[in-house]
Amino acid sequence: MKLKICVDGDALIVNLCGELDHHSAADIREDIIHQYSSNMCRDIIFDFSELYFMDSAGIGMLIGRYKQVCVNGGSVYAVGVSPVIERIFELSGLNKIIKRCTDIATAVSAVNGKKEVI
Amino acid sequence: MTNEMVLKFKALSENEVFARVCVAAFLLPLDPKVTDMADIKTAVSEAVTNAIIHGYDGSEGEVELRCRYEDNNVYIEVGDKGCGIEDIQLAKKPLYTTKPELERSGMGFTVMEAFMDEVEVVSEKEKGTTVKMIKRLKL
Repeated sequence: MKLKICVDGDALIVNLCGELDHHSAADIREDIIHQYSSNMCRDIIFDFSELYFMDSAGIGMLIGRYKQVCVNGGSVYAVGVSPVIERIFELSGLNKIIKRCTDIATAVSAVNGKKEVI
Repeated sequence: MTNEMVLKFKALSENEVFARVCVAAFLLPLDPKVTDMADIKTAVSEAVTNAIIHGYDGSEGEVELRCRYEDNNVYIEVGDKGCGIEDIQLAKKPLYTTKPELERSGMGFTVMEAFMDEVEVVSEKEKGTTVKMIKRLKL
């Protein structure tokens, strides 16, 4: 699976491309953890629009990132979740901890709109 | 329409995608609905992953995948000759995992049970585990 990562303000934007299973989750986990810390991000936005498969390994990876951002008072956002992957979200309760936006732009403004004015 | 296949492969995590894509290709003549196909692929992925990371836990071994269909009933068996499961009821419990450090969610059996019509686990300590699943395809 391929990972495209960029930073916008406080948000780390992670575009997941391909199939997310136990094998690929182990591959991408370190990358996401590293980019999140080194760019001093607060929130993570996952773009699912190019993800064609996800099993329970994806649930574990997302809960792991949720715990990571919580330490910094951040949130995890998801956009572009397909109906097939939506069923995994519903079944696992991910919907209770992951915020949903219609597109990346909305998620980015939700993140950076939260910024305190100094 | 009846058909059957058996697949044997090494217990390597890169074979998770191989296993589920093979099953999907095998079932194509039945022309399953997209959601049925996704359910089966996900359940196969869960069972094969369990065999690899729990059954063998990094040691060498083989996973055997059997798939058979009769009309619209699909029968899948994923077997390993690994360590076996001591307490199957506990293993099936949502969120229960013996490997939280790998960020395992403990949702594997829950996913299999939600997406398949029947799931049966046969296991013996030090002998191995076989997960038998049935899916009745929607016409």
